[in-house]
Amino acid sequence: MKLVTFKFNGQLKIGAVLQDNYVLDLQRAYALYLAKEEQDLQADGMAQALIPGDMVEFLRGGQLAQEAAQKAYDYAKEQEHSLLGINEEWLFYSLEDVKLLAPLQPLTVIGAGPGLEEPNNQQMHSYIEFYLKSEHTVVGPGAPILYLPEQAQNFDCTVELGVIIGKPGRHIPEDKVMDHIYGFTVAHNVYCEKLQVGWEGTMFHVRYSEGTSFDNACPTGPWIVTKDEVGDPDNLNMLLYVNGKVRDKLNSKDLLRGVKEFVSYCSTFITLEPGLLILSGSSNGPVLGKDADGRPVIKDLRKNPAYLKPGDVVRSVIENVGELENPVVEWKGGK
Amino acid sequence: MRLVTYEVGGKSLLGVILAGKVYDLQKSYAALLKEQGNTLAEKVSAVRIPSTMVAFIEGGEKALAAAKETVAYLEKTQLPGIDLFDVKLKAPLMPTTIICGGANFHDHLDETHRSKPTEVEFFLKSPHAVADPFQKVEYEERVTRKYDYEVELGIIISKPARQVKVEDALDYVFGYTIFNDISARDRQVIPWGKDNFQLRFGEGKSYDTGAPVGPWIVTKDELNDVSNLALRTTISGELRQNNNMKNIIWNVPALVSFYSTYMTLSPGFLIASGTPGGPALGSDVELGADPYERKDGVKRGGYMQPKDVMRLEIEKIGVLENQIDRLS
Repeated sequence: MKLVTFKFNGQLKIGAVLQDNYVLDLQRAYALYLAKEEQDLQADGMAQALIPGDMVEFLRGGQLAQEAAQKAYDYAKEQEHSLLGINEEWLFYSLEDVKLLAPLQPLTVIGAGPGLEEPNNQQMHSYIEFYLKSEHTVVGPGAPILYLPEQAQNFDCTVELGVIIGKPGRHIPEDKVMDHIYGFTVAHNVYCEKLQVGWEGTMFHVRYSEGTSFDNACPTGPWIVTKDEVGDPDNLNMLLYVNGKVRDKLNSKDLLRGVKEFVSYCSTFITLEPGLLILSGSSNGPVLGKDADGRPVIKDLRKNPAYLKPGDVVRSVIENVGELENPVVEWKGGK
Repeated sequence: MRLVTYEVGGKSLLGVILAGKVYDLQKSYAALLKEQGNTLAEKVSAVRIPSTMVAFIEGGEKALAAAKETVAYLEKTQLPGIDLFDVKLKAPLMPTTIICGGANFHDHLDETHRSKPTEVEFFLKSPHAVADPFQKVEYEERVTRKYDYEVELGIIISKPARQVKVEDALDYVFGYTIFNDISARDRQVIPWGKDNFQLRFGEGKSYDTGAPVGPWIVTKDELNDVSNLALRTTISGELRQNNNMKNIIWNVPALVSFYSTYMTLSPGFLIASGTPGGPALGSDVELGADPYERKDGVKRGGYMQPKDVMRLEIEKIGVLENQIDRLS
């Protein structure tokens, strides 16, 4: 199933995408299913309880909620699109007519630290890390990537696999991680020139917050694909286009740390739970290396990198997951 | 006003503290409205004073005015409150984002052999890490054996702030609380070569229960000036941090203004001020410390052990207490 968050008449709704051009209102479809198929006289209330409009809340409902969504989907997917719900409300919307938002508004976004200039240098592996990206950077498909002239040198983005957690758990070994994942989404991890090493005397750190946490720096979407439709997250082709031309061509198997391995690692620290968004990192992003004096430095190893500028359109495709497009727009105040 | 989030019968409520008693703000406001003849008292009150702190802060001036009106009403009526000590306190708010400052007190920089950077440190801590006052904080050896404490002023943002000037910054502050930026030092400080160290703010700072907040929020109208407040930490009774906000390098307006250059600060954001000297890291020679002898009565001590009690105090705000222990 492909799940979207959309707004209609000011109301947040969770939908399932049908034939790539229709959205089914899952809550209303479930209410109809309960009323017609299970003769439930409290169908409306039950549907609201099990399939709320907020994705995090829905995921917190666990298996019960997820099964309800599946039933609603199976029941409605073959029906005529003119079918109405128990209150004569719409069940089907044309994908073009609704505004898709970020499929999930996370409470925490975890990013994978940069790759390494020398990935085979085992000693350097102790410097791999994770970082937090502000939850407030998350926006949806079509939302503008905001370009600020004063911090826009090396302004760029990577395509990354976004991992959505379904089932809570802590200290989860790699081979059990898939039990805790609900699905996946496409993410643009936008960064700017501030993503550099900063020094305080003898101590240094990579300035992830300055470099990756600014308004709209994490477009995600267009939907969450449930894991059954994705297969192994550690073997997915990923493509990033700028203005229609291929810029990055990657496969998640080339990540310094595999997706499952990284999620398992995060669970050492933070309880995996709905509301967490984990970004996979990229095998073609900024890397940590050394300068001529052996001091740490963030490098861009790409040949002739073309940085983003206003007017560009970024589009990414991840195999079995989806396609996400965002325009680059100069910031002129507001969000 | 001193605003708390507390729990009754598994339900989270927004309360105000008056003379050692906690009052349900929403219910008290409904009582006031009813007395004024409002026929929709409960409904109006539920909207105007929502039961979560962030929703209340998002309500802006109107919500705040209703709360103040309620306090005035409570002060002249004899409504029964609950004794503060009988209340189960929760973190006063579930911040929507936690921004942490660092490198913000000279004595902390000195003891860790750091020089003052050109800008205040900027890192994020996961809201998933928030712990309530008195909640047990986990001592989890799979995370670290070097658990450290950091007393910090928590600054709560009231309304969207983007690229605000230092002189306007206080207009965007809702109030203050105490923040314990618990740190996992051997996850945070990694030797690089012979003389340098990498700081990792992900692993070193974000894990379950690593961010106690509370015990309440003191709103700006009651605590307008935070530029001269004592900060103190005791660990199981031993004085470990003892400083004053007047020694901060980047003060509250500077912090709010600086972080707002990067992103829109929204209602319910928590900005932590950075901590003064005295954490165990300052005595950890292995991790590059210079444990010079302190003249402020602070004892140099090691990392926390299971069952240690952290008591963080900020003058005019209160005390945030948590015990660290093995949870399983």
